[in-house]
Amino acid sequence: MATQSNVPRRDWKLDMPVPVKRFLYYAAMFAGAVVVAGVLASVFSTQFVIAGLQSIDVEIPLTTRLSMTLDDFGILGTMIPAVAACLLPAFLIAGLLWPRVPGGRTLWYVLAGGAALVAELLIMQATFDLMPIAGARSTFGLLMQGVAGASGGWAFARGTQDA
Amino acid sequence: MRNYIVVIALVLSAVAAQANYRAETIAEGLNFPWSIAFLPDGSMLVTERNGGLRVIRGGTLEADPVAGAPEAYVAGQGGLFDVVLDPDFESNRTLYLSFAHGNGQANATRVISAVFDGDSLNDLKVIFTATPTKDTPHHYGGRMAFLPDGTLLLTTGEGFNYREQAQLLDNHFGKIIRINTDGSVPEDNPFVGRPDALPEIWSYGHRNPQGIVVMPDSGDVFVHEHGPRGGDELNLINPGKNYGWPAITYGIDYSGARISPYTELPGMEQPLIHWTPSIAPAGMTEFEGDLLVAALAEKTVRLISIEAGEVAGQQVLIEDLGERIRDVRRGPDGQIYLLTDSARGELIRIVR
Repeated sequence: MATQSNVPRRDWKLDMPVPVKRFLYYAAMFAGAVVVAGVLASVFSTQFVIAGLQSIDVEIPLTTRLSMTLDDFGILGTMIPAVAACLLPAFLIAGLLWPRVPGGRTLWYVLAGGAALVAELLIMQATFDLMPIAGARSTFGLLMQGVAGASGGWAFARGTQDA
Repeated sequence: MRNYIVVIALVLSAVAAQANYRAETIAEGLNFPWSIAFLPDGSMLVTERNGGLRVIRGGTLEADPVAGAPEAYVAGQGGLFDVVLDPDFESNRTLYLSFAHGNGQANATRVISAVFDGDSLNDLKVIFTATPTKDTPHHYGGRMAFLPDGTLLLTTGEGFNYREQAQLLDNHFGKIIRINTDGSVPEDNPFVGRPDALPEIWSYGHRNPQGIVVMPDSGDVFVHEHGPRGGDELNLINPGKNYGWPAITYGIDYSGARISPYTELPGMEQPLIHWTPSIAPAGMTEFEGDLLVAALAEKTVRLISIEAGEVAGQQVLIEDLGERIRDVRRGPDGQIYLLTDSARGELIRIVR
């Protein structure tokens, strides 16, 4: 038999202090931005790896391209923390910069996201003497990783613009 | 019942094989030793990756490295690699060294010949430099072996960032090279006369081959190569053949991403063995008609049983040293010699 508690139900979301709510909201938007950047980085890298195989006359049908792209999402487990580690300081700097410099809020988050991913890959390349993401070995491939980071920046800026 | 007997016999033989030896340290304090050559007078030459060519004479490591060794580009996986004696060493005192040459912006695997007078190298001649140069200090290959006809085989790596180049014949990335000892190209190399191919190429589609053995009886050439995450391979090499990297592989990238969706394609050779997960095979030697493979990551020596050019089985022979094994050789005394891969590397003799 079900029993009714005498403790009144609390809507915990409404009871939270505003700064906590804001923090959680920003954290959720940041997590979303990291996922956007990570997924796009993975997709772009796979396409460049496939382009490399095609350049040596390996045929890749569309279904194989799709399955390999999906398979490569397996790297998100390691990529997501790496993307988060570079986007966090980048977005903090962008958050401090945009009210003080011209260009607009979205632009600075986009630039911060793009620069963060490119910088992280270049630092890793300099540290290990190799490019850890195969799809970023070419300049164009590296720039597309930047586009992935910039997309994360755009997603974060849009998601938090009314917060 | 018969199966049980076979299993018990295999287990007992494996246990006996693993237990029935002792390890003797011949020399220690070697800086990432890479290769050994046994001289006719009983002394040994050991290469160190930092560029030193060391002599072990009378069981003692001489304090000073051999004078006159070529300057190697020492960075990443680059440095001094293999030392191989000329088949007529006793009369001409000639040896061959492979090493990374160049600098961070432009480096390549190079081979020189030199005359060794017991203390120093003289009359150095560059007989091969891989082309084009690369700007990464990784995946040089660098192992050498002589074919019965006196030509020299050299393995080259694909430079890590240049993996697709292993499939193209206009460069030396990820190839097995065959040259004469004066650096000229044997006329019967498989791609001689093809305008789109470099004539030194003997086989292609390799990643980073670091073990090569020419079997004394059959002349079969076995080469193993490092895969990425998984996909280490042992191949039987035939001239002109394509061994697939990176179009086919059983490994995946270090990031976890796929390198290729394929493990086999027409026109590409399958490995005799692929080790997945990786054992990181480094050196290799012939041993009573079979192969011994040194493994860096697995810290073992594996015995690969060979029958008529095929792998009949494999087992871990040595596994309790707890050291990365860079090279394994069979000495003229019939014993097994190992080099451990560290800044305080050792030359170890396995006494059965």
